[in-house]
Amino acid sequence: MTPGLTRYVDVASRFQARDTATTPAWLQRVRQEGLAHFARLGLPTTRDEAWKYTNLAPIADGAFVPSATAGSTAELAAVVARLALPGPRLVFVDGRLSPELSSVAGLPRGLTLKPLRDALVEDGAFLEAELGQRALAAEHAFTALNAALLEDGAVLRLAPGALSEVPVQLVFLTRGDAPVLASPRILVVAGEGSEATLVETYASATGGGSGQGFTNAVTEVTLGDNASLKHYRLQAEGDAAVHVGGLHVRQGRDSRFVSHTFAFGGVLARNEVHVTFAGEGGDATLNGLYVGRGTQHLDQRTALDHAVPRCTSRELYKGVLDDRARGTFHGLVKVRQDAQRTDSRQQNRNLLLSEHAQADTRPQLEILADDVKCAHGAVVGRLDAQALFYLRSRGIPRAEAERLLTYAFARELVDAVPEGPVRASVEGLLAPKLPGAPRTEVTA
Amino acid sequence: MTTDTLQELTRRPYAAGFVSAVEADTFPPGLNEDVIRALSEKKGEPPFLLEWRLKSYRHWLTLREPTWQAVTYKPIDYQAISYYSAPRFKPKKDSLDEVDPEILRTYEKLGIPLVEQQRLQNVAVDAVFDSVSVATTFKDKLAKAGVIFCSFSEAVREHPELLRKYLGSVVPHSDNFFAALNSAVFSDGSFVYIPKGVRCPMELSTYFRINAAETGQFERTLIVADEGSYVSYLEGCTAPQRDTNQLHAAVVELVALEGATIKYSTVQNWYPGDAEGKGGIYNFVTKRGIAHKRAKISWTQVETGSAITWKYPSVILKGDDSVGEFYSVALTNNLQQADTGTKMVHLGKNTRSTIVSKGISAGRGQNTYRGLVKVLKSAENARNYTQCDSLLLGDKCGAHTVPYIEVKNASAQVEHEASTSKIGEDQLFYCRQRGISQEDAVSMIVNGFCRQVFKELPMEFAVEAQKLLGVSLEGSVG
Repeated sequence: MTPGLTRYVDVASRFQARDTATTPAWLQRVRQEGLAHFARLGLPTTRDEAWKYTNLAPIADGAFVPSATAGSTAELAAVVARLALPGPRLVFVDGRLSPELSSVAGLPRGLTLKPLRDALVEDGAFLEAELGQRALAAEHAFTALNAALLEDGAVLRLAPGALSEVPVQLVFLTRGDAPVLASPRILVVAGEGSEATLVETYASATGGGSGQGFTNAVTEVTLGDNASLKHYRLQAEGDAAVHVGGLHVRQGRDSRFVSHTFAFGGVLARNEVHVTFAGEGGDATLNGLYVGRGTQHLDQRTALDHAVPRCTSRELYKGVLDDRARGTFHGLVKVRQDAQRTDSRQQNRNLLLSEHAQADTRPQLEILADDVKCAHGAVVGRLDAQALFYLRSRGIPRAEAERLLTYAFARELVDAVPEGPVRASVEGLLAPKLPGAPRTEVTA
Repeated sequence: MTTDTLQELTRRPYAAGFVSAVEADTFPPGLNEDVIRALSEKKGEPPFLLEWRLKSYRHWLTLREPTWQAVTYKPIDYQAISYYSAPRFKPKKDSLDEVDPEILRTYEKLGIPLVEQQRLQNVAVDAVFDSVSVATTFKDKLAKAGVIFCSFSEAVREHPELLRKYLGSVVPHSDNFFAALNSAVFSDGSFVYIPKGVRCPMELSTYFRINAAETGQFERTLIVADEGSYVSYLEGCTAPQRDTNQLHAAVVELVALEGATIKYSTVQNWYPGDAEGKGGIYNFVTKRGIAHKRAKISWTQVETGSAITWKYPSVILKGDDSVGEFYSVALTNNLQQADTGTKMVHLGKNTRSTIVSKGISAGRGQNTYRGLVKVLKSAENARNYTQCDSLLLGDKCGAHTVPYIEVKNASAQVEHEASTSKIGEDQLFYCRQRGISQEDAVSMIVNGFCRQVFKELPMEFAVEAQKLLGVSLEGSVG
C-alpha cells in the first residue's frame, strides 16, 4: 500500500469507527464495502489507462480529512448570495450540510429534496435499494472512497409526471482554511414522465483565492421512462482546490438527459460523466467547457454506453488552455451488439492560448452493432490567424482580438444553456477566467 | 443478400494454402542463450551482432508480454517454437535454375513466378522462403545505381559497417516485448541502402512466406535512404494453411536521411485461420521510420490476412520540414482480429503527418484503429490530419477507434475525424436497380471506401489489393 492510500484508508477507518451504535447496519455495510473496494483498487496512477494523462500527486500527497462541522458565517452567507439561483437549494460547507444557509422554500409539487443525512435515517429502505446502483464502488476507486465516507449529500425525488420550472440547486463550498475532504453523494430518482433541472455549484468560500480542499463528489441519476433531466455542474473552486466528480446516469425508455459541465476551478479537477441507455429511444446530450490557466490540470472523462437500440447521443466538449494549463479529454462511446440504429456524435475541440499549454485528447469508439451512425472528431489548435488578422485590420488591438475570438470559441457552450439565471451564473463564473480578465496584457 | 451466399463466399478455401515438401534444416524447439549462439554461428555473424542478440535476449527475459491490445489469443509458448529453419540448397546461386524446384513451384502456385516477374514487371524480388533468402534478382541493375538490396545475412557479411551503424537505431533492442524477441533471434530479412542523391531505378519487393510448421518467423528489414535519395519498397505476404498458430514477429526499420523519401507498401494476406478461428498467423510487427530534415516516410498497408494483426507502422518526424504518412486498409472476416494504427511523433519544426485508416469488419471480425499523434514542445507549426473510417458488414463484428492526441505546442494544428457506418441500403438498391449484382455492388462500394488508400499503392499492388479485398469480402453483407 502506498503512503497516500494508507492515509485515506486510515481516515475512512476512523470515520467508520464513530457512532457505530446509531448507524444502521446496511449503511455500515455500504461504507465498509466501499472501504474494502478502495483499499483493493488503490489510488489510480498514470499507469492506469483511465488516468494516463493525470498525475494524482496532489491527492496522494495531501493530508485531507473530513470536516466535523459546516458552520455559517456572514462571509459564507455572502458567497452563497452571490452564487445562489432563485429556487430551492441546499448548501454544504466543507462537505457538511449547512441548514442555516439552505432553503427549500418554493420546491415545486411532486419534488422531494432532502439532505442525505436525514434521508439515511428516514428513508433507509429506499436508499439501501438505490445507493450505489449507478456509481459502482467496485469499479472506481474514488466512488469507493466516497462510499466509505458516505454521510452528507442530497436526495432529489421526482414523482411521476412532476414538472419543475425552477432549477434545484446544490451549492458546495470549500472554506479553504484547512485540507478538508468533502465526499458528497447526490441521488436523483426521476419518476416516469417527470421533468426537472438540477444545478451543482462547487466553489471556494474564499472567492476565487486559493482555497485548498479535496472534493470527491458522486452523483447518481436514474431516469424513468420518458423522464427528462437537465443537469449542470459548475465546478469553479479556487486555484488550490482538488476536485474529482463522478456523474452516473441510467436512462429509461424515451428519456432525455442533458448534462452541462463547466470546469473552471481547481489545481486538479477531474469531471466524469457516465451514461447508460437502459431503454430504447433515449437521448443524451453531454456538453462540457473547461477553461484552465496557471498550472491547472483539467481532466474530462465521458462514457456513453449504448446498451439498447435506437438511442441518440450528442457530445461537445471544448477546452481553452492558457499559461501552463493542461486539459485532457477522454470520451468513450460504446455501442453494444444489440444497439442497432444508434446515432452518436462526439466532438472535442481544444484551443491552446500559450506556448506552454497542453492538450491531450482521446475520443474512443467501440462499436459492435452494424446498423449505426457514429462519428467523432477531435481538434487541437490555436486561434485562427486569418480571423485575428481580420480583426486587427479593423483596428482592434491584438489582445482584444484574442479575447474576442476566445470568448466566441467558449460561447458556443454557454449558449447551449437556455437563457435564464443558470446561464447568467455560468457567464459570471467564466468571465474572470478568460484572457483579458485582470492579468497582464500582451500588447501588439 | 442472403446469408447463404454470404456463408458460401466466406467459406471459400484459402487459395494459397498448401505445404511444400522442402527438406528443412531446423533447430529443435526452444530458446536460450545457446540457441542464439548456435543461430549466430550458423549464419557466420561477427561478434558485435552476437553480443547484440544476447543483450536483446537478456532484456527480453525481463519484459512481460503486453496485454493492453484489443486482441485475444491463447498464450504463446516461446519454448515450443523453433528459432531457425532454412530450406536446404547449395550455398551460393547465380541464377534461378539453381533454386530448389519445389520452392519455385510454390511461388508459381501463389502466382508470383520469379522468372516472369523478373522479365515482365521490372521488379527485383528478394524472396524469403521461411528464413533464408533463396534468390535475388536484378542485382546488376541495382548495383549500377549503387543501390544495395540484399538479404540481411548477406548484409551482415558484406556491409557490416552500415549494419552496425543503423541496426537498432530506430527500433532499439529494448523497444518492446516482440521487438526484443526479434532482435535476439531474427533469422533473415532484407537490407536496402540507397546512396546519396540516387533515385532507385525500380520498385523493390520482397515476398515473404512462412513454411515449415511450428516455425516462428523473425524477419528484420532495414532500409537506409541516404541524403536526397528515393526508394519505393513493396512487401507482400501469403502463407500456407496450418492448424496451429504461427507467430510472426518482424521488425522493420526505416532511416530517411536529409531530403530522402521512403515509400513502404505492404499487402498482407497471411492465412487468417478457418471459419472457426482455428489456425492462422499471429502477426505482431514493429515497424518504425525516422525522418530527418525534409525527409518523407510513407507507409501504405493493406491488411487482409492473419488471425491477428497487431502493428503500428510509425514515423518519428525528427528533422524540420519532415513528412510522415500512413494509409491503411484493414479487413477482418470470420474470427480475425486486427489492432493496427500508427504513431506520428512530431519533433521537428513544420513537420506534417497524414493518417488515413479504413477498417472493414465482417463476420465476427474485430477491427481496432489505435493511433498516437504526439506533438512535442520543439515541434513548432506541426500539422496533422487524421481520418479513420470503419465499415461494418454484419451484426456480429466490431469496429473500434482509439486515437490518442497529445499536443505540447500551441502552434500545432491537429485534427482527427472518425466515422462508423454500414453500407447504405440506398447505395445497394441503386446499384441493384442498375442491374449490378449484390456481390459486385458491395465489392464496388467497398473498393470506393478504400480508394483513398489504394491510390497510394504502386500499380501492381493496387491491382492485387483490390482482388484480395474482393475475394475476402464479396457477399459479406446481410
